Amino acid sequence: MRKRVLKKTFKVVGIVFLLLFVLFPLYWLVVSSLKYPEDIYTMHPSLFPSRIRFLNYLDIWKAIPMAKYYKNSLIVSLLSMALATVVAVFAGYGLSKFRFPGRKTIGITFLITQMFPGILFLLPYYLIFILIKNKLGIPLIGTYPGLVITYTAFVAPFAIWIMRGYFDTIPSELREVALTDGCDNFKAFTKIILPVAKPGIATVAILSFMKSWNEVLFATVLTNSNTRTLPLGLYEFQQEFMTSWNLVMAAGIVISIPALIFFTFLQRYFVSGFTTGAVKG
Amino acid sequence: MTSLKARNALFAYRLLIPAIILTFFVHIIPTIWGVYISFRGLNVYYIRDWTQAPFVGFANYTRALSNIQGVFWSSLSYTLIFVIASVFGCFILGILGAVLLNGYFKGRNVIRGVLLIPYILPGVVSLTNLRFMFLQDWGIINSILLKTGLVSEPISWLTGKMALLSIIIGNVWVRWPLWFITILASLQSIPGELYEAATVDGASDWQKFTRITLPLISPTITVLTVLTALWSFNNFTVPFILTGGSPSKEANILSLNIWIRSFKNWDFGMGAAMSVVMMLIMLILILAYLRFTKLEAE
Repeated sequence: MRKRVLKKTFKVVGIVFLLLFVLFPLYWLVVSSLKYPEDIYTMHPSLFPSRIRFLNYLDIWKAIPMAKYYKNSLIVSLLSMALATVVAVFAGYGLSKFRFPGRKTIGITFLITQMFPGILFLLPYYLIFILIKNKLGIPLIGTYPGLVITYTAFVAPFAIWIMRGYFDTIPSELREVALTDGCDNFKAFTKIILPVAKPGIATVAILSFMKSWNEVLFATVLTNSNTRTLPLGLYEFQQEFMTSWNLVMAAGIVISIPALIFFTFLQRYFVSGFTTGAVKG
Repeated sequence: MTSLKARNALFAYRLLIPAIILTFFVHIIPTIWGVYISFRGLNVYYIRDWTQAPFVGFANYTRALSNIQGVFWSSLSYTLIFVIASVFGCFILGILGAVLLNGYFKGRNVIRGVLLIPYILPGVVSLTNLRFMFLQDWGIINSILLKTGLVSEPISWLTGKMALLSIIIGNVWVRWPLWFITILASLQSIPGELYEAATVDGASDWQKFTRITLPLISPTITVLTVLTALWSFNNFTVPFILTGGSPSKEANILSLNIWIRSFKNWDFGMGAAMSVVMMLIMLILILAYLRFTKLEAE
């Protein structure tokens, strides 16, 4: 009897601890986004403010070019998501269901490129982009194409890896049956396999979108004031002299909305797709 | 029959072409280029037309690795502490969360959803918020510590030695939900009969945990450890956002260090040399891992 009480206590204490660990920062984010500036700049900010200011959510659109950042982030993230997903679905299927010379080398190359630090590529990209501009006159630094290419490449190896793991869970017989029924390889792929692989594709699409949406490192160098994306916009806003933290927090919440929507819609797919894809991979 | 085999292989190559082209132009060529740059004295004077920068042999490497100019070794050791502590933190919290939420009880799904939020929230938002909480003068953490009398002086969380602890906490906060949800999924695939049989044999809860649960989830833990270690080793965003881009030496982990060297001091040669060394360390770790797990993409 005593043991059961002890067990229950441990369980409750553990859950409360984890909830506090996660919820308190989230609470602070939301509460601070609704505060008056005077209630922020104090040694002991109040946990339950006596007044709230919804106007913060209007002010941020004037304080920084949020609309422009939003547009930039949407363009870049959606394009990278589309490109990376297509590349990953093709490559993942090829690696999972076919045997051909060079398969092992290609698979390992993808696996290894995914593990290299982004900073390793940023420097050469920057210099190659300068070279391309000097020699060919095509500007890539501070443009959408430069960012989209970079993000696609940066997201693709991981996406391929997950996609391949997902295709591994789809029985090969499915394809063989389709082939004996008179489909060619392409038809078997598009008509039979792709519909079954929807959860995996959804996972890869969300992950690709979120990775681009959150990306900071490449954005520090490859964007300019016209193509600035949200994460870097938020960083710069926070770095300003006399930061308005209440507005920074409000902006942070506005930035999070697409990721939250995306996730809520596709959560069911996401959890199953990620665990089958990534962990078995 | 061989023609069918050849046709299949041809189809597979076609599927792989976009990925191969992308990898070649955006990963392999830049990697080689990076090595090439590391042998040139490329600094701010040559940025306009960097092809004019002179070859300097291994000068960038000796500068990067020497104790006088280079902070490489100290940066590497702080990076390793950062990696190990992050994996450890994620492991503890992930297992705790998964075990606690494994059984059914009222409100379980809601709690599970709530615990996942840090994973969904854009990292830059979570980290900016944590920075705000860690602020020395206006931060809520110092306020609580002072009010409860746990400390008598405000702690400067984001500078000096404490910054290392803060970036570890930030990294764990952002990453542990992935551990939690993946371990939970893995726990739920363990057949209940195993535990029943152990109960019949008189095993204690702790024994069940160490003899049944841990061995069965250890493949999952291995994958999570490798991924988290890699992502933390490469991490730029966590220290960049938390320290506002100007880290103390304890928080100046490798990626950020190279970034500052290259894009703040405009010393590309040395930045490139440091990235090459970092890449070699990664490569050794990856090869050891591949050999270790024989995960050779059969």
